[in-house]
Formats: sequence, C-alpha cells, structure tokens
Amino acid sequence: MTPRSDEILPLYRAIKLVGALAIVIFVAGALEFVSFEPPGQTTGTVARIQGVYAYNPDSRSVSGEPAGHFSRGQPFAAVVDWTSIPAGTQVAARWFDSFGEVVGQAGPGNAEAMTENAVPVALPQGLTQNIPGTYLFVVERISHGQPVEVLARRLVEVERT
Amino acid sequence: MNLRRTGRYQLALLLAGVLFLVLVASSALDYLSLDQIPNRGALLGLPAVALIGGATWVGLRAFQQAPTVRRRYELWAGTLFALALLLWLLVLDVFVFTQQAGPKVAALSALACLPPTAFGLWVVHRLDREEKEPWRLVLVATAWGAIMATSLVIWAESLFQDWAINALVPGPGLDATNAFSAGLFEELAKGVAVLLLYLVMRDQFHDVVDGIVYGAAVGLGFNFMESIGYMTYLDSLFGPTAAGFQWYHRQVLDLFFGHATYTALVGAGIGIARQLPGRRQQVLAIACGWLGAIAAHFAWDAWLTFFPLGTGAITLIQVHLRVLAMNGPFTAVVLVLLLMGRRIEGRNLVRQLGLEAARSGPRRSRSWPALGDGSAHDWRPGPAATSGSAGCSEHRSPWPWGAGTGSAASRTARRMPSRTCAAGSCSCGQPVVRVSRGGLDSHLRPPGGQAQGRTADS
Repeated sequence: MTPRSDEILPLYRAIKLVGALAIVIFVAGALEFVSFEPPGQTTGTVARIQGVYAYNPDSRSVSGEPAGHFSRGQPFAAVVDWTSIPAGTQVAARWFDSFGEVVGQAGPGNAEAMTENAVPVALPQGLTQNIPGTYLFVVERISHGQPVEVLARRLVEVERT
Repeated sequence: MNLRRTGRYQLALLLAGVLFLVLVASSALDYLSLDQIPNRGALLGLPAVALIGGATWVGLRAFQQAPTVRRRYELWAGTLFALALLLWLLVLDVFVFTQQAGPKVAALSALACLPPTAFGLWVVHRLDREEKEPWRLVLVATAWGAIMATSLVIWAESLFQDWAINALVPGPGLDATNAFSAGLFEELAKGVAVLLLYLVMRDQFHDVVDGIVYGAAVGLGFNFMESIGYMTYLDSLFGPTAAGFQWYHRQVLDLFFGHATYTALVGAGIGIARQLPGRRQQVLAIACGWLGAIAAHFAWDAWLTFFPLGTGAITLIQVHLRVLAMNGPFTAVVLVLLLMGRRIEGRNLVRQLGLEAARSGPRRSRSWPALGDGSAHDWRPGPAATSGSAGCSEHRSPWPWGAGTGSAASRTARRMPSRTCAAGSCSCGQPVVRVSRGGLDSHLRPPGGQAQGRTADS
C-alpha cells in the first residue's frame, strides 16, 4: 500500500523548506563574497615581484637565485619592487601558508613609504620548520582598510622533505 | 520492461558512463602529476589488472552460454569489473591521501577509523526499523563514498582552487569560494551514488527513510577516507597528538554531524521524490535535498572562522559547541525528516493491518487504531513468526504494540493471544500478513504453504 498524497505533502513541504533555507545560505555567502571581493575595483596596476629568495633572518637579507621550491628548514622571502606601484596607492604584501594562514606581511601603507623590499615568511609559533605545501604571496591594493585588488602574486612550494 | 524503467536505466547508464570518463581522466592526471604512483601503483594495481582479466574471460564465456545461464555470467563479469575498478581507485586514493606520512601511519589511521565508522553504519542501518536495507547495498554506498566520491572530487576541487587562488583576493571571499567548491563537488560526487541506487535499485529504495540510510552510509564512507587523509597529513606535520585530535573530531564528534548529515539530506530529497507522483515534484524534491546538502557543507567550511577557538581547556568545550551550533541544525532537519518518514511508514502499516483485520473479522479490527501513535515501529518478529517452525500454540502476539504508549487499546492488544503456524501447515485458518515496504502486502496462505518473510497473524 502506498502512502496517501496528503501524508507525503508535509514531507514535500519540509524538503522545499530545506531548499529555501539553502538559497538563503547561498545568498548570505554571495553577500559575503561581494563584500570581500567588491566588483569594479580593478585598476590595472601591476606590481613587480623580483622573485622569492633564500633568506637569512639574522642579516635580514636575501641571497642566491630566485626559486620556486624550498626545503622546510630554509627561510625564504619575496622581494618586491615597490617603485613599480604608483605613489599614493595604499598597499600591503602578505604570505599565506598551505592552511591559508597569514605567515608574513608588510604594510599596509603607501607604496612610496614601503622601505623593506624583502618580505619574509615567519615560522609558525611552536614550529622549527615551515609547514610543507603551496605558499601564496600577494601584493594587494588596500581600500578602506580592506584588500580589494591583487597587484601581483607568486606561488612557491615548500617540500615535504 | 516498461518505458519508464528503460528510461531510468538509460539515465543510470549515462551517469555511469560520464563517471567512468571522469575517473579515467582523473587517473590520467594522477599518472602525469604524481610521479610516485606509477611504480608502486602498478605493483599494487596488479590484482586490479587480474580482476579485469577475469571479468573479460567470464564476459566472453557468457556469449557461449544459453540465454538462461548467460545472465549469471554477465553478473559475475560485471561484479569482477566493478571490484577491479574499486581496487584501482583505492590504490590511487591510498597514495593520494596517505603519501604524507607513509603506509604505517596510514594503516594505523585506517584501523583507528574502522570501529567508529562501523558503529556509525550499524546505527544508520538500524534507522529503518520497518524493513532494513540489505547490508550489501549499504556497504556499496559506503564504498562509493570512500573510494569513488573521493576520487571524483580530487581533481575537480584542485583545479577549481587553482583557478580561485590565481583570480581572487585572499581572505574571506576566497575562503567562501573554496567552501562553495567543496560543498558543490563533494556533495555531487557523494549524492550521485544515492541517485544511482534510486534509478536502478527501486526494489530496495522506497521512501525518505531509505534515502537517509543510503545517504548517511555514503557520507560515512567519505568521512572514513577523508579522516585517514587528514590524520596522516597532520601526523606528518605535528605528530600523533594532532592526528589523534583529528580522529576524535572527525570520527567521534563529527561522525553523524558532518558528511553523514550532508549526504543524508541528498538522500532525503531523493527518497521523498520516490514517494511523489509528479515528475516536476520529484525533480524539485531532489534539487531541494541536494541544495540543502551543498548549503550545509558550504556553511561549515565558509563560516568556521566565525567560531574561533581559544587556547587551553576551554578549546575542548568550544569544539563541541561549534559542531553543535553549525552542523546541529542540519542534523536536526535530517532527524525531523526521518521521523516524519517513519510516521508515514507506521500509518501505512496500520492502514494495511486494518484492512486485513476488517477482512478477517471484527475482533482484531478494534485494536488496530492503537497503532496510530507510531508504536507499530516497535514490532519485532517473534521466533515463531519469523521461522515458522514452532508448533501451533497459544503465545503472546509477536506485535508488542504500544511499548511505552500505555494506551488501553495497546494494552489490550498486547494481551491478545494468537497462534503460530507450524512449518508447512497452518491449522488456525487465519490469513497471514506479509510485511513489506509501505505497509503490509497481505496474501492468504496457500493451503499447506510455507510462511514467507515476516509473518504475523491477524
């Protein structure tokens, strides 16, 4: 015996309610996305990243050739040519590890006021080596205290061994 | 075979074909990008190759058989081929997910995850109290979640995240985008298992309760493989304590709240569609269930950062509260749908029993309304009712109605004497009711016939 249609109706309504709730959640997600990725912010400005180099924390200097892979124990830093960005532009530079955590940054401030070209990756608290995985470095334009445009980005890999 | 069934099978075949192509592409990408796989993968993939060989041999032999026997050979060939595919995907999965910490940690993680997952499956299997789903299908659903679904999402998510990381500003916007991709791809990959069961296993897929059972089983399988992946990764980074915490979070705290809940929502939508008459309503129910699952998954991934954890002992409390606050409402929705579905099953049972009682006489029919409170779920077949081997004797009814209901009618029903039928004969002359999905299909026992299925006298 199959259930009567009036018995199924509450279930049907309930699942439609679930669908409506899902749409509310998606709208909330879209609003969040738009607030952090506001449209119409592209200026066409491009920052120049000279490269990612091995870094010496004691002397706070880079050495060697630019590289795309580093071992876990090797500190490294990105070198940014801040003069490639128009004066008066509010900028910041940030490193993200493979968990999406910020592990190094410079700024925010006006491009002409940024004096340190090397932006190193800092070791996470309690660790003696970097976490392996893909690291993302970005130079961002800041507006109203919030990053709104990526002017340059670079990906490097920290090897597991 | 009617036209609708043919259409369903064609759709299932199309889905399976698309999935196969995606898996071939995934394997090719694995081969090209993960240089450790070819050597070890080829070695461990040998059993898969042997199974493919076996499937081919049996499949070829099928053509030489008479049509009546051919189907059995074809079934064997298909089973061997499916096993080979699963084994090969498992090999790939093991390498993709566990290469971080090595096989020993991966094996230990798998061993640690087995008991909670098995317990979860046992609980899920018991959700359907009227007619439990066959273990083989529940385990197939679990295997799909663990092996097929994880294989399907690896590259989809990786490619999407590669695009996102190169196109968006890092931060909450990027996190939300990645969360959406995880919800979309993972729920599609998991939910397609429930959809295929719905399309081709109608005999074992009847309603919302079945959908929730199959969906949760797929989710538990996915959670099993994902737990191993995360545990091995965190062990390689932070040691066994981090892996242990991850085990607790995913296999204890999140066992029913995470993937099991999400895919149960997909299953609920498909199960409700199974009970609806109109095509438009069916599509809408399936879409709503799927959207609910994607949204629940998205909400967890995207808004986890809104519930930051502190340090010290308070973290333990916060972790639990966070899961309850973020996933709890969706699990509650699944439970509500489950209870509604079980209530409908109970009413069907009552209605069918009422019909049977009306046919067999007025004495029992007065008792059936006592079942309307859902206490019919508490039915357990008595030994005589199931085996049919006991002698024909007076004993308590195998229908312990109203356990906990306390109604006068149910008490009356509980006191009712009844009879059982000895194997091969039934001297009491009562019709026998066979319990099946959506109620009871009654059939009068043929004279001297053997009781089949769950039987109860009426």
